[in-house]
Amino acid sequence: MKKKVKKLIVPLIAALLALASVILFFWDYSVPVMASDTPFSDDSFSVPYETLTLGPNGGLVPTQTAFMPSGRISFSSGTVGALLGPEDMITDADSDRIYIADTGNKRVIVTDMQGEVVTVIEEGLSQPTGLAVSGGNLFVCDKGNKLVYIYDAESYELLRTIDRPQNPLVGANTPYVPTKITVDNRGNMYVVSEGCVSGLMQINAEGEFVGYVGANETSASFLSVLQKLFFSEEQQNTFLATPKSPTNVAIDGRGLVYTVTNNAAGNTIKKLNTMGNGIMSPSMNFADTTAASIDKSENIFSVQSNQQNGSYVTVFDSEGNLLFRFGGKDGYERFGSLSNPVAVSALDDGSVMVLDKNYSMIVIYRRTDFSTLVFNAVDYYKDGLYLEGEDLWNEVLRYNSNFILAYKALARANMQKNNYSIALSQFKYAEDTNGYSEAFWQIRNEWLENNLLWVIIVVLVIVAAVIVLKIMNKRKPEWFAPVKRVFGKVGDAHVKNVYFFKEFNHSKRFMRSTQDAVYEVKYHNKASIWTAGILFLWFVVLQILGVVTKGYLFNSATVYNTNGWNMVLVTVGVMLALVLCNYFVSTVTDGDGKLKHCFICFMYALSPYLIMALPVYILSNVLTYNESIIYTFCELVMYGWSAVCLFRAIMELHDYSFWKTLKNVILTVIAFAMALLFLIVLYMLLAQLFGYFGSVFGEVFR
Amino acid sequence: MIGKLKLAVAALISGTVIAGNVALATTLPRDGDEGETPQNLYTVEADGSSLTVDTKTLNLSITRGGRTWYSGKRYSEDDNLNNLWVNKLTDAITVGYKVMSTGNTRERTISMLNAKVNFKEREDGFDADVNCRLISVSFKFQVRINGNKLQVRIPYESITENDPEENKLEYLVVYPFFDSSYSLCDGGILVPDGSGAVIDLSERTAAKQAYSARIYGSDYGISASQVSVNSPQTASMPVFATMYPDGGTMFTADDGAEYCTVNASVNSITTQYNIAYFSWIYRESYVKYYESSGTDGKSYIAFQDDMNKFDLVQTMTLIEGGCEVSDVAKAYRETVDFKDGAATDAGLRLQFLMAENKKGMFGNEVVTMTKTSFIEQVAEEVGAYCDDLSVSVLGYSSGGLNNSYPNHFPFDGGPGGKKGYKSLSQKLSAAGVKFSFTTDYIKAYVGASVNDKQLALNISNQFATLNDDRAGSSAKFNLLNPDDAVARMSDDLKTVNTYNAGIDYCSIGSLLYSGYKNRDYNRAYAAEKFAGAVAASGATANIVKPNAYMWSVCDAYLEAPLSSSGFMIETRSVPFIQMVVSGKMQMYSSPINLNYTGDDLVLRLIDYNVYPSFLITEKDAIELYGTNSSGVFTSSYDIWKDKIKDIYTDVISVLSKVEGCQVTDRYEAKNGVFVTEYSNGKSVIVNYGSTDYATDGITVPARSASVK
Repeated sequence: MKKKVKKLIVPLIAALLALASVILFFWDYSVPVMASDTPFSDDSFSVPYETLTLGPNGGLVPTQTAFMPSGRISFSSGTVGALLGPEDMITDADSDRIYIADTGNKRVIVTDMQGEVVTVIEEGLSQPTGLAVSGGNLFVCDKGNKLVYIYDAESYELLRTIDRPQNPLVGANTPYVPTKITVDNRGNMYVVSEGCVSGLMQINAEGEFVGYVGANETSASFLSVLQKLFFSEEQQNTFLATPKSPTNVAIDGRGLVYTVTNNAAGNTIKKLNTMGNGIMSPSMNFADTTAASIDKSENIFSVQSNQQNGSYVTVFDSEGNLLFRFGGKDGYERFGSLSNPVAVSALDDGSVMVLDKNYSMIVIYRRTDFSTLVFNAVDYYKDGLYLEGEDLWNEVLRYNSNFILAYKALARANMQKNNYSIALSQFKYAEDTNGYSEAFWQIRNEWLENNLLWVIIVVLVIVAAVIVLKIMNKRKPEWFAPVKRVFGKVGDAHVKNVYFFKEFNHSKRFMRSTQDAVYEVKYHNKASIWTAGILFLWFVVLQILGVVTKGYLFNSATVYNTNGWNMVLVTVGVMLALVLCNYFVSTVTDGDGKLKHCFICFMYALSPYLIMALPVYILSNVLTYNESIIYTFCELVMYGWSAVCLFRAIMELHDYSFWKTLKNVILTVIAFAMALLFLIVLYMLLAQLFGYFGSVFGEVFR
Repeated sequence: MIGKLKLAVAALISGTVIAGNVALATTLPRDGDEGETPQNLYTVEADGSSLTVDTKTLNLSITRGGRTWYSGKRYSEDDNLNNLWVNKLTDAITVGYKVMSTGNTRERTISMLNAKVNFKEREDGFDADVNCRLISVSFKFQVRINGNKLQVRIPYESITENDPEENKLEYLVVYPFFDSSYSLCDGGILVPDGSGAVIDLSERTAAKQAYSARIYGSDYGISASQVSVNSPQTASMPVFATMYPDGGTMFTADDGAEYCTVNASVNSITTQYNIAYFSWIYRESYVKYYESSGTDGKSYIAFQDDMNKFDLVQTMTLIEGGCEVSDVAKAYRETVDFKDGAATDAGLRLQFLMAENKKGMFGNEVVTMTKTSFIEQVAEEVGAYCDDLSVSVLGYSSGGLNNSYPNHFPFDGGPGGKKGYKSLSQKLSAAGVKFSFTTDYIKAYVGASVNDKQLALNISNQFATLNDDRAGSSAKFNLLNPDDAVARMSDDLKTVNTYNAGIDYCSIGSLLYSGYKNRDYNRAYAAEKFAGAVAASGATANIVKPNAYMWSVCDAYLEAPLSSSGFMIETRSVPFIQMVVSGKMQMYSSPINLNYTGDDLVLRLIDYNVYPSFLITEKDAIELYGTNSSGVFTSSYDIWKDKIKDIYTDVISVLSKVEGCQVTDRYEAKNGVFVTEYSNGKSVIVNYGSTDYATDGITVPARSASVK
């Protein structure tokens, strides 16, 4: 029986194995991948640009691709024919329509979101350059006819036109050339009128002029300040700088208007409040911005057009932090590259449409997984939901360790969780000094809470010990004899009289009574050039220590952005040049000082700085911005005292009056500037000379 | 019989052509128009092909398998062609030449140059001595027909310029309208851009620029152009094709490819014709600086004195029946040599950045990013699920990656030093993991320790200098002379062999340049030298983006392109390189962690039969900020280890079923669904779309891939 079973089992197993093999052979080896609704484009693996984000030191750093080109709408093979110099494009999520101002062809094309033409509006239009849709109406700015046309957005029938406002506020010389428009939910129109420096024209739903909003300001340059000082009012009027006229306009879901001013010196993009005043501008300004669009999360999508440096799409969050910037100079006419972007529209599905005037087409970009992650995280961040967004930001950092905003957000989350040490390091990565200060304050506070009692006890014990020891030293000096033998006799008179100590001690004299101290240097050799040299060396070392030891909050330099050798060279050069210049100036202005004395007095006069700098640097490590007044005060004392000492030293050294000393100081600075100029010219000449010999050498010996 | 043949040919060939240009256009046959009986015809029958040629213009047609291939056919009189274009259509050769007195480049056909054509019949084609009398340039033009191959040759030695002071030859174009088509029609043009791209002829293009790409990239010995992070991809194969429903043509540059440009233009860009052709460059203009340093910026445009030395050899392979990309790939594969015994298993590549240097306050400091002991741990961990793991190290040289090349050894002590690498190589070897050193022998960091005599001089007597094309890097490189680069390779080989390692070659497979002054060499010499040295090394050679001439010495293709450059004229990317290379060597992607755009990328790897590769470090990438590797913004193994496993598992579950197999066909079954058929009978179906795809009882869910 067993044998029979065995006989049956063997072929059965064999058959099962064979069956399994067949199944495995035809098995559907399916790889499930994350679902997405974005349409597939075969070209989307080709990205003709680098994507940048805000990195350390306020610079832009490479990051994962945030947007990929996913489609294009060009009409080149359609029935309506190719676009010609289009100037504007808007999308309407409610009706799923794209509106394109086909300026060169004097028409407005209406399509669905796939680019299928719905209708073409062209009757009467001359030069349509700006579009808006609101409340079931389509608004078209016609630059050529100087009119705003209002159409029914369903039937595309012309409802009415808005002509030049008849209002005293609109002066006879004020141009009315409507080029761009946006409309809020109440039907208020905000019209960009070319050349109108007063700002956007606000026109209510009834077509009445309400006023101007969002005017730009002029910035005061050094030249304009000089002009104000020296020219008459009449003359000043001829130089009068007029503010730039806004060049484009956008609106967000809350009805807040944004102006775009191309080539503005200051803020190119400005978010206006309901009063029409600027309340926010992005952290980085790109003067070549031509258009902006605000998405449903109030992220700002802007486009920059620059024929020399290339064209870009730049995305900011609602607080103006730069999230992504992609584009650049291509010149190869590649899918996704831009030549002259003039309009941008951020869609609700996260994709972006950009109208390129030179390519006469709309390029569509879709979000990548990475940017989707970032935008989701930013939504939490702007609402202050730091803990809720923590996982997302951690995920963002997985894809880019240099993503500054992620550190900022995570630091905030850790602050909420009382993880101050982690928050501190994250704030440091994020270069958020205010956040760092807050975190450090908390850490220091915790430490003090835990250790304050001990600190007080230790201080009290030390003070008491010193007092007791001093008393005992007086009463029983023999008890301290062995200690004195071992550690020398610091404080004893003969130690104080040792050459160097004695000379260094003269610093005290400089700080207390500078003129007497200088007199003693001049006539009693109380300080030598050697000790002055050592002080000079210490001055140079302090410059380096300033970088290395200063607290993070008070230190603008880091070891990675400082060239130590340059610093040493510049410090030595400037200091010696100042001494020399002062000496030379003094020789022609009846000064008494010798060069040696100049050098000594300069160095000794800096004593307040030389003595106080290091302790102040060290102190800065335990201070936060709340106590920055202490640090500032210390610096003020340090530099102020040194300056006073220096001034008095020069005065005594050359035997000058106050005014003569002042004149000497000014002349020294001028001489220094001239010496610098001379050195620069010399450097350039030498560089040319070496370049010439280098070229000859290259030609002959390469 | 001869009369009948002549009548038949009359309907096929592009007209009676004499050296009277405007009159000539009116006598050309148009669609459905038999035209006038042409004179001066010569016909050759060869292995199923019938070649007929006009002995004056050398315009020809070939009939094979019921289809006729024209070297120039005018479809309509309303095609708005000007005199020059009409002549380009009807003449065999277009000549570009520089008029030295004005400095202008002129383009004329041989008829327009009053050429005297001395025609010689041959059994397998014809020879013609062409003397362009207007510019005093002459050359031999040799055409051979062999079955479905038509080969054209202009030997370098035959080219003479009798008045080079007045006119100098700049370029030649041979049969620019061969197998061209008119206006919108079914069919496409395949161009060798990146992985390959197809220009669809049935849709009107929105592009305003034609396609033009130098085979094997710019000659940095002459050109001042620079690479950047997102430069267009190089045309790494000297091939393109015209493809129609009833047949097509594959064009290959068999000799002189280093001096060749591929051009393609479709209706509405320049003319209404869809054409593709090679331009053969004999001389180029260049920027000549008054000073060799070029620092003063004073320069002028000069013109190459000597001609580039190469034989023009262009082959047109006639493809019968419906011509698709896979048909061209099959035809091209037959012309290419591959290395015998190269591994084709489905694998995973981990490249480790060991150390980088960073600017400190008083000089540079080395940042150790990965220790060798860490790689050992990773290899063990990954080895648990991956049978074919390749480990490569980068930045192992003393001082880290930046400023190291072209020096590779000794090792930097931070990651583990000599001892560490010895231990690593032994452990990897024992575990069956492939180990290699990433090298670059032809780039020398500006500032690296290298003898100036080893650096290549460009035609303007300056060091040939390139920007680093890595994101976030401000480094610059000088190029090394091929002889010196190869000598350095040989010197390092002993060390490499000590570690039982292979070599990952950067640049050597993808950059070609000529050298001037006292190191005269041309691109062909450089190509031969590089390929020869890699072959002679005997070590496993993994090459980054190798040009076609390196495939014969290549074990693995690194940083394989996953798309074309996306020029507006191109309709879609195709895995043409992958189709050619499949089954011959492994292909690995660029580091996925630095290009991760979502899970579409995984599908693309499967679709294109490319294995994943990652650039990994032990420490977090933020340590690299401020270095020239700051473009490596995410690389920590701890961060990526799960993703590495997931991506590898996804890719391998499909591609392991077709490893070592050749692609036989590829088509789009439905919008966003691509089916690639392999030589073992299996098909890989990749569904990029958002809806499921069902076929033959198999359902491929949206955003997934399957094997059938």
